[in-house]
Amino acid sequence: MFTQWLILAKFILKVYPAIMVKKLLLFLTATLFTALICLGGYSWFLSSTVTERFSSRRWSMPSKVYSDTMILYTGQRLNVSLLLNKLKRIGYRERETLPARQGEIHITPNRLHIFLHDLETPWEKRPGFLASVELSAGHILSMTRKADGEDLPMIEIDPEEIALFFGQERERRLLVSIEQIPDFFIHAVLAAEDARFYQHWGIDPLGILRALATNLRHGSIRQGGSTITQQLAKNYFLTPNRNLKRKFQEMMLAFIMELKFSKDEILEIYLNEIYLGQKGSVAINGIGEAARFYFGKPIQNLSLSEAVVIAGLIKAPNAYSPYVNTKACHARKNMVLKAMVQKGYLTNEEYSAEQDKFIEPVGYTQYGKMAPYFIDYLSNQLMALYQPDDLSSLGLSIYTSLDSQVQMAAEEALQNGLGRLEKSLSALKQASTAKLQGAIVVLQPKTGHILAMVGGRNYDDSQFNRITQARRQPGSAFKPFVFYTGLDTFTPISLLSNQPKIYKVDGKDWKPKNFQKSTPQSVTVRYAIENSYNLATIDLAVQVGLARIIETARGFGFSTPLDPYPSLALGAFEVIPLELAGAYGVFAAEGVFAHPLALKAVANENGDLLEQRHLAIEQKITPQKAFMMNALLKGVVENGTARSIITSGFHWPAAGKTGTTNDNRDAWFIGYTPDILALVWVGFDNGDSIHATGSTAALPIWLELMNDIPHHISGSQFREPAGIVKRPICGDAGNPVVSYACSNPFEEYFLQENAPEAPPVHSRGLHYIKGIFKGITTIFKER
Amino acid sequence: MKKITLLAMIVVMLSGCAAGPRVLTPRENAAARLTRQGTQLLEVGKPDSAIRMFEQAIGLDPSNGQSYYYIAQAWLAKGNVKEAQKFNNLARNYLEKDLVWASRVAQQAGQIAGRSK
Repeated sequence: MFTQWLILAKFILKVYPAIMVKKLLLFLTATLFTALICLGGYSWFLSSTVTERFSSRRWSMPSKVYSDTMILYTGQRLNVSLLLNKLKRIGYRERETLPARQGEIHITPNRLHIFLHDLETPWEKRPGFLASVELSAGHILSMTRKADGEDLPMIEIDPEEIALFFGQERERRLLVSIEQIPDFFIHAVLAAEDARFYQHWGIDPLGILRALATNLRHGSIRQGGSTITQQLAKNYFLTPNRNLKRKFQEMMLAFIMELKFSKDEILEIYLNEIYLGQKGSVAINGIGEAARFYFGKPIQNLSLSEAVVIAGLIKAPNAYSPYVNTKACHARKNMVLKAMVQKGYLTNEEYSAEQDKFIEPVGYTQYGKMAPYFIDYLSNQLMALYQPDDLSSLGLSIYTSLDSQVQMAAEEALQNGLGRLEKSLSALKQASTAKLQGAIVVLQPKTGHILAMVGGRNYDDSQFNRITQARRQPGSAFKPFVFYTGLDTFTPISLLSNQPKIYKVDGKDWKPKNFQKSTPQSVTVRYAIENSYNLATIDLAVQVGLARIIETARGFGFSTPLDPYPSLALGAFEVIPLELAGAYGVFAAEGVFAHPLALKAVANENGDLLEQRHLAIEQKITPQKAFMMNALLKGVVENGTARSIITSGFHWPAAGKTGTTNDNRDAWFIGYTPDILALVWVGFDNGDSIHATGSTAALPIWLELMNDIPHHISGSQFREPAGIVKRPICGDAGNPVVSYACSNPFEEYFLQENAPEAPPVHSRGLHYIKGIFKGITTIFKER
Repeated sequence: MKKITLLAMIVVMLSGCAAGPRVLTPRENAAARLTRQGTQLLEVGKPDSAIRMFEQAIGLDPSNGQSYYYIAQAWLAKGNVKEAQKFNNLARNYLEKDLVWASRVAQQAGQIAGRSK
């Protein structure tokens, strides 16, 4: 061999002069050297790209927004249909037999069997278990743990995912570590995609040759020669273009990845990266998310066939999706199973046991943004804490105060209410070309938790949030703040003038009127607020002082401009609905203002808390004055403009106030119990008349909502604090007298400091004795 | 029939006079249970988780004065005397008629006053 080379060299030297050969060799050496330097440089560039990408955040993870958890307890009243809908939205699936796995429910007429998911919040971790909830007439009679029959006084239901902050990719991904993945899953993936993964160096010449042979044999591309590492390189670093340059890059990257990372690391990244299907407009990436999407369970709980289905999807996720084509999915599953047998991962018996199993996917609810106005309100708060890019990439878990059942009930009540109005009021149809609008906010007065927020009729039509962004006149809904200001000097039985008067406003005459045509000339404070008399309210406002009313309003948190005109007392200045709701919340919460709270906590992807918001309170008014206002506003519901609440059969203690503005531009009802407060507004954005009042337009919506959420109404009375006294009152609204000297005296509440003197004690005894005798005589007379 | 009803009413009234402590409603019971769970969290040094539990209790039973007392304790544990003061005031409003608890609340108020100096 050496002799032959020597002969060839002598021949070349004979033909070409030595100098030329030298030059050629020099050129070749220089070219080779340059190529090596370029290749080295390029390798170094690719290597640093790989290192940088893998050492920093590997994926953009959307942040998830969750509702509050729900507590079920024995004796609880609840709306069963709302609860079942919620469970289904969380991912619980109905079965015809007793649940066998997490996330399954079985419903009978008087029992709900529920196999709870694992509860994982930053505050609590609880493994899932099977519970039996006994129901009767909208109540929970008992709850037991199925395994041991143990009584359960309380169950916490996992929070509901209500929104996602996506980046441009719109990908969902649930990361899993290689240790969490069952061996049979890894075997299925290797058998389907790259059986020699643990043998090659990123590129598999044997695999390429085999693929080439298969493709030549079939005359078409049947098999790809790409290894798992190459696929990862392609998905992670390269564009989908197919050309030689890109193939070269792919091979280089695969080789570098193999040099820098272990096989298990590469496989873990690959299994978290791969695209595995589509949920509406959102891509499902990684096997963790796919296990949830297709089978509703964590990767560790997949059966062999389920794992094989997912492994089979890698090749063509949408073609083999069990949601798209069950036959193709089944065939692909068996193909992968067969490959597993060929590679020695499965026995023939195991194959036989699995091959006939048709795998049913779990079903899913199309991703839809829930409570969009609430989410916008929340986003504004989150933007103060995080950059938009962080929200769409850091995979944060954002916990909120939202009660998804209340939200659904509020949305439905608003739709129904506006629909009813449009149907029943012919004047409304002709009134405006604009669409009738409405808004609702529901708060827990003592915690400030915003349970629901509906900022408009249809978010797709208008994203303007009428709860947080609108400025509307409150009309009579403002009157309670006038009456509150007067509580130091006026009592519920103080008389107010209800006669027409002319007031000078900016040099012009202003002559307000009552809404009702015929009204008494003089009325008590109670009667005035219950019937929402304008003239009596203005009389009170003028006596108390308009400047003081503005001071009160500021104290209650109204931030919009208010001027000291008499019309202020009638709510002629614009307010922000959320502020109005918060101000009423002070009455409901016994004088305490609980700052409205939507965001409760933010946790990172490891579940560590980054941000936590607690109940923040300020004592705005005394509990005694708050109680007095509750007593007056309870009168509005029992005897006044909102009495349709009682006549409609709502029998829980409630207080509230209607509001209607000039020309019926706005209709309001703000009503509350000691547990919950809801504000309802109805109107047109352009200020056209809705030809209806607060009690006819807004109140029925409030009523429907309250009837739908029994789990938020305890039925408790408003608490009477020390410092409140009661006196018997005789006479009518125009001439009240503190006395027992009438057949039916009623008890009125007073602040201790300005209560009238009690009538003599003996007259009270006499009154009771008279009453008892009267009762007994009636009984015997009736016989 | 009416006579029997009247008699029954009198019996109920009399038995009411001799009745013991008020029976808690299911909702109040659930709130009391959450409050107890909150105190356990407080004992193991998790004031934030405890506050969350007390807030849940208040959501169920807004007049649950003990939850306000314990929120004040939690804020004290977190070193925030100002917040502790607010919730101590609230607890006082709710627990003023309960001698045992009123004295605890007063004690807590003293503790807060001492810490705020």
